[in-house]
Amino acid sequence: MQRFIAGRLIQSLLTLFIISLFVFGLVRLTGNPLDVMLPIDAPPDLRQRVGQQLGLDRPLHFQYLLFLRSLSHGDLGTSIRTRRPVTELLAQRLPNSLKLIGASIVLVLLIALPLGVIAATRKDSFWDVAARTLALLGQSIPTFWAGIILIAVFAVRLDLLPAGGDQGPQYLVLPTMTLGLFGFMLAGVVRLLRASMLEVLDSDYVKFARIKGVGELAVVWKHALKNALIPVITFVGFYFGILLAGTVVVETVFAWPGIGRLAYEAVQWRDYPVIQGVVLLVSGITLATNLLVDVLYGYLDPRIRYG
Amino acid sequence: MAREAPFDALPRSWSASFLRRLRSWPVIPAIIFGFFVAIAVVADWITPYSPYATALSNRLVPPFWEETGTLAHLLGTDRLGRDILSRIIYGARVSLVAGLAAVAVGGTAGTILGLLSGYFGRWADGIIMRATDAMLSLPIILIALLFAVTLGPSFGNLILVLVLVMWARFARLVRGEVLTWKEREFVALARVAGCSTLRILCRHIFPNVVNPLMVLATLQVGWVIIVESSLSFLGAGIPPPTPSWGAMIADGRAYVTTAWWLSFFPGLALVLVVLAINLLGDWLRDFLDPRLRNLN
Repeated sequence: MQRFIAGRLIQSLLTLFIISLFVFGLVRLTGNPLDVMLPIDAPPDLRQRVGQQLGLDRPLHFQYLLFLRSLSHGDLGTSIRTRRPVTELLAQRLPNSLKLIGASIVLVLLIALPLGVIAATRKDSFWDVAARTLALLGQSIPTFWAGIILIAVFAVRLDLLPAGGDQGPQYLVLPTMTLGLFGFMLAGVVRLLRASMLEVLDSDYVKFARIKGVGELAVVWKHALKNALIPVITFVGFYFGILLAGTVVVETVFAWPGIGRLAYEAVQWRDYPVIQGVVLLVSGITLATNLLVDVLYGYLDPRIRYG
Repeated sequence: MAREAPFDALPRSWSASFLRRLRSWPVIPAIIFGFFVAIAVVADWITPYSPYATALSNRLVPPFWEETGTLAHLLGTDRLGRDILSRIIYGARVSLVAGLAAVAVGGTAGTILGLLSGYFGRWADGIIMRATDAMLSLPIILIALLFAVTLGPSFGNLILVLVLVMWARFARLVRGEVLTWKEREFVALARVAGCSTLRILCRHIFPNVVNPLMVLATLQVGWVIIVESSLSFLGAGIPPPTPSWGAMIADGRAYVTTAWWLSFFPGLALVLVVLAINLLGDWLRDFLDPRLRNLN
């Protein structure tokens, strides 16, 4: 087990290393990084000071070490637009994004769990077809368009829900629906649960439970579902990072003040330090959750560890 | 994994047999996809207006069936008076070229790396697979935004970012396939017969990998088109005024209360194309390789 964790940890660090090289190298491809990192009207003495901080007159490997050092101190630079530390902006916005993601995951599970189970127990019934159609539509409809259509219907035509902003729980409804119902999340959970339920329902222990005289409801919803859920939980864990990156689109549509919206604004203003901060933060969180899920899964299912 | 036989003769409900028929008979998605390919190819001859021609006196004209609509602009005009239908037709070109180019380039690179990784194993495998893992865990949309901010948004940069993730997906699939094929007898026999490594890879192993490769490639085209339009929507894809569906939807966002058609029609085109591609991919999977039925 320790070897397994160590292996995965090294792998995650390697990925983090590649991402840091990426971020570091990309800005140096543009010529003078100061042009991207500072406002156009930055005074010469500021340019000189930041240039020294980045060690621009030193060799590249030395610059990279400096970059890593400031990262390890949590120093991600200063936003060009707001002139505030990037770390502060991220800390302020992240909770909003997590709220949105949490609500979406709950919504997806509320819909996908019953749908996936029913689809598996009554293969080819109406519900099975509905589940598969929903999965197909979910992965074919882009979130940003879905969000705009939801606004047009629920906010403009029906005037039921607010179109954007964040001033109370009702503001969470449309973004949550958009993030949860469209894209691969719902489709993935329904398909995975259906497939894994079909497999589990065919296993010996489920047959044995039936022979033992356990009621059908208990067989399906207790005995089978419990094991069928393991791959689903893994999927949701892995999907967390993808959702976090996907908030860019949804938060932009709904003017939701999270890190995704922050990234979008940074693109509009060409605010390099902010976008770099968001990329590093999201990558870090993604790697951490993936690692956690892997270790947890390896713990629950020893076959993975030695596989 | 796949429990259902492909041609199961058991009686089924009407709805299930309809979905099954749609999948086993992909004429409708094929027609939709073919239609969009055709209009993308002949866009220059069939568009009623130039996609760039602005006419401020004709701003925000609704589609023809609305009260103030006109047959001159079937799907209406945008905030600069540009014809929506013409822009959608040209947008098809952008989306399809981006999707096909990224999958072609990334798929080829990934296939070669996957073949090498699976066949040679050892350190080559180690390096290529670690790189694959890293690429697959990158937040791709955010990396693309980073590209757009540093290098500026352009079609080339967009393709570059898409290729960057694309190769990893192909490399992983091909490597897995190669691992199952390379221990087969016919490969050993080919080696004994004195075939070169290149020949074994190209003539004996690769043909066995083609089917799953085609399935993955088809499904990836749909995914790439969605990512491309998302990036254009965020202003990090294809720079204006080039008509791209994502950018058109973004343009219409500010007019969602007054001019719904600005966002609606480009989005509808996008959904139709991606849906058609996904259905074709599903069909191809069932047809070529039933083992992969639970791939997604």
